[in-house]
Amino acid sequence: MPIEFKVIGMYSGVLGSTISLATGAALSSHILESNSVTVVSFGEGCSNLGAFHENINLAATLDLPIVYVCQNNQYAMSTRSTQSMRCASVADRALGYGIPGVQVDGNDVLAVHRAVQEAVKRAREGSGPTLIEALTYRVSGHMGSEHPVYQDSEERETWKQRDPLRLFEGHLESLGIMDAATASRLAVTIRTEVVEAMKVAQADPDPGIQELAECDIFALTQGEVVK
Amino acid sequence: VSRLTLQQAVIASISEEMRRDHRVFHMGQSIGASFNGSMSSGKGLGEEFGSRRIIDTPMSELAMVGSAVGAAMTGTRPIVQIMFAEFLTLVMAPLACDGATIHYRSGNKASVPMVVRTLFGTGPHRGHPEDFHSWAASVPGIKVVVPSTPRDAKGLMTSAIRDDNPVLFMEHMGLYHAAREEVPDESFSIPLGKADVKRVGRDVTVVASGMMVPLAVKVADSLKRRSIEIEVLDLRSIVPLDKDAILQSVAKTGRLVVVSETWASSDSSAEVAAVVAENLCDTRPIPIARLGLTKVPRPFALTLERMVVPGEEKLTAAVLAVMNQSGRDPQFITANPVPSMLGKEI
Repeated sequence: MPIEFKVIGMYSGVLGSTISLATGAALSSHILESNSVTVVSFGEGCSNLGAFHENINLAATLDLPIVYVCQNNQYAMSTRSTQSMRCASVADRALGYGIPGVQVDGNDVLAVHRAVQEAVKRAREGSGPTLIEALTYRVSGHMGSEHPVYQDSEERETWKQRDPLRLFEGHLESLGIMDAATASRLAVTIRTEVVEAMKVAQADPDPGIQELAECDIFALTQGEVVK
Repeated sequence: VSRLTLQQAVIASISEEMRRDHRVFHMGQSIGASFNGSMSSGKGLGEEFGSRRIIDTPMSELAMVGSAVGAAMTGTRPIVQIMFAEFLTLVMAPLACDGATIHYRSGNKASVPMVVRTLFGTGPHRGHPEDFHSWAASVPGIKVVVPSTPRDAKGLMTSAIRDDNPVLFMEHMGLYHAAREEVPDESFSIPLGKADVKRVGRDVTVVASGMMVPLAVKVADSLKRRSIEIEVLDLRSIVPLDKDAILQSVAKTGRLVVVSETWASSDSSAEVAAVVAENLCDTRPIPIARLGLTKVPRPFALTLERMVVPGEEKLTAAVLAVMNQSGRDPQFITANPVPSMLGKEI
């Protein structure tokens, strides 16, 4: 069955699983000899999981068409990345798998775009996976509401000044593509759209017992009838 | 037909399905042409299908099963070999948390047609006998198949590969290169969830799977000489469980022994006992005995291994115990009755 919008989400609370699922999507491209490339994104906390190491190594040995994008926001819950890894960059880990490792400014939209495009091109040519580290910073708590007491507030403020959307707006303004008025109009339009969508979602009825559907646990195999 | 071993029958099914469906591929450690898999579990596949479809992977079970789930969601039908069931412990996150849930959680939009095949069981390999099938069987969303004969193995593997869900397929090392059986040369499938009566009998139902099936048959043949008739029910698949067949047989015999090659603690044999207790015990008492592996880590010494695994003596004792318990057939109460095993783990 097709994957909706060609996007694979999280199906369990186990971090690292999406790295596995994405590697599998690339494996399908390999088996079916299709032109598809898979891009997967995860945090630097996940780069300490077996799923990260095993899958990237597997993808490297098979030259799978996949791009691993690690958003290093420097915190896994409260754990600072410098406490959880000895290497300077997650990109350095690529050396261990014999694939290119690229570090980019994760708050620079165009730099990330360029790095991913280059890696996609490489993957499509059959040259295998690339590991990209997009270095950024988590400007909120892990769970949204909690106050990140484990962060240096001065450091957090410095990074807030480097908000990727603001930086990109500035860039577009400097090129004369978009002026400040358009940017704020756009911000209002988008905010309204999101708020409306939230309202619609919240107005939906709570799921009832019919949604539990034990009979949906297993997919029906071709020719199988529901008992 | 050809007289095949269980190993040959499994390979026959895999190659037929790979010829039939280009989306089927197989990955595992050392399964390719240079080694042909542990205990020849991949024999001939690498040579016929090449390294694109028969993938020799690094020793990375988590990535093998995890990526197979992703591959299955995106248009292919992977068969993963986890060399030994002991290593299933390494793959529970992708198998039980992702593979088992994706069809449901995607609102039936995605499915995960994959097979995880694995060697297990006490046998000539002298290592890795652990049987963790009950871990998988306890999670809704994973089918679990444990064949006991070559013919069953071929037909069940074909169904497993064609199934649109994750299927754990357990290949017993003690049966692997052992008894041959006539197996049809053409492709055929045996539906998952259909138990098979391997011996018909009226006195006691023995429910078994894998290596415990030939054991039960042996005990049935020997007790027949003492006029005790055992009905041997081979589950073939643990999930789906053929409740109808279990209830039908126990309704007839009125006595149940469940025998398993793994620890009885939370083993799938408990499910069989519970199904019988819930459905039949309200009308009359039904003696039930459970026989499983002694609760110690699997010993390596042969003498100890023989002691912990259910054998002829223990199974005979369990059968006689349920015969004695019911009291309907006093002639079976022996001069030296075995200690009552009812309601206790043996």
